[in-house]
Amino acid sequence: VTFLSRVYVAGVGLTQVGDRWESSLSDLAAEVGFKAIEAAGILPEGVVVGNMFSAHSSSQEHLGALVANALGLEGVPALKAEGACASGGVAVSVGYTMVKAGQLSSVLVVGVEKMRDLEPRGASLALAMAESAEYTQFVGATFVSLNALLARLYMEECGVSREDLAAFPVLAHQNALTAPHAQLKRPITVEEVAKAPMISDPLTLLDCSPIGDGAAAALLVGEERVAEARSPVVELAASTIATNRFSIYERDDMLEFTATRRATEKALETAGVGLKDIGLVEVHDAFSVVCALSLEAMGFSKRGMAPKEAAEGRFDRQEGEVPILAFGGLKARGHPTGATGVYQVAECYLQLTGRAGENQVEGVDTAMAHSVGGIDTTAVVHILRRCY
Amino acid sequence: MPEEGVVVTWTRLYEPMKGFEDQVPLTLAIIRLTNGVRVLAQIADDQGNLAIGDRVRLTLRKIRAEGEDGPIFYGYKFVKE
Repeated sequence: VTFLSRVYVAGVGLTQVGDRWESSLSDLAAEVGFKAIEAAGILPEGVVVGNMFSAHSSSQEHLGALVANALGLEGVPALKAEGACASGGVAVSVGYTMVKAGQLSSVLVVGVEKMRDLEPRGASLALAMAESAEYTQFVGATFVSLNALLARLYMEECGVSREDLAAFPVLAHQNALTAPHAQLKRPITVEEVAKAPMISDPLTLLDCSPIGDGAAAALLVGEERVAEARSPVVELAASTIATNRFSIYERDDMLEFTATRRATEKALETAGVGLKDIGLVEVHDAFSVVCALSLEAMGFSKRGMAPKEAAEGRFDRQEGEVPILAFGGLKARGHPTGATGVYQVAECYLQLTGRAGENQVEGVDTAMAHSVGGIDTTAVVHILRRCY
Repeated sequence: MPEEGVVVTWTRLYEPMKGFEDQVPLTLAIIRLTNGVRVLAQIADDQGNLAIGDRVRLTLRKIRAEGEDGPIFYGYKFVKE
């Protein structure tokens, strides 16, 4: 008989996303790692680090051992997990698998990214590494421009307007106003989104998540360690990864996010819950159009309907039927690429333990975190559940 | 591969990557070739009137140069018919 442990989040650590010139990659990772260990009161037996492009931004690789060393965890197994902007989600998934398999009874997952040390054109190149070097970077297509190609197609085929898409950034900024760790804490309007500087037509600056430094950590434990936890634990009830054809132009239907759909279906099945049970979705809103297409692929909205439903309040934190982006999401909390997937899981933990402060979603028992690399090329879905 | 196709979607990029600064705005499109294959490419000689469904034809052009003394990269672009 194979014994598979249940997996729990026993503590988390967050730091504010933004310009963190004073802190190195190692400093940021250690700061949040110590916070998670302190909160859980359990020492990790292993470390998994999520990161996308430290070699490019900090001339640093070998992050597993680097972070374990910074935390004083001598001798433990440690490694890096990578999946472009989904690296944080992939790292949580690797940690989950280690605990689930009974290989280790406690694993610290740290997502960390330094983006602001790169000048803007260098950051564009680093982000474009999520896509094909041969066919995408070569012709000068940045990551934003690929999302802009998708946005124009979505608007044309589904009758969605530029203003409709703006509902998502407006919602994200509203939710971030009271989030202590958010990068952008100012409200914006639909008009401001539409009139912001054009990055790649039709996407403006305010359709795009910002560039920032950040780190987040989650301490995962197996059921035999739960009794030792100093803080309340939350069950990590499912962790799934799926992939799509690599670039959007290779796909039969460019508007269908099949990786997100597959990962969501498998996660719901594993956790034994339905969409109607999900009380909060931390969706990968790297771009307004990606937020819409992701909610549609998950099954929350029919094709072309998510932006209008967002404008009508369906996804609002307080009164919405399906609250999303409770701390501002990628758009306003910030998107330090390899850290983002861990921020999402940590934020779901705070919500499910009633520790979300002014950002608390009332009555949430089950939450979903969705982390994406490329444009739905790698999708990671986590389902977290309150323990009674 | 066929040299003709239609524009499926397009964008004009104002914040380019390193090496493409002199081509701003850079017009990019996904093109469906007459055999059904889709490719991503730059649109050359964009007159500001590109639309979904436009017919385009392949052409060989300079993609970018690595500084004044570096190599020059050539590749395919498309022009509106």
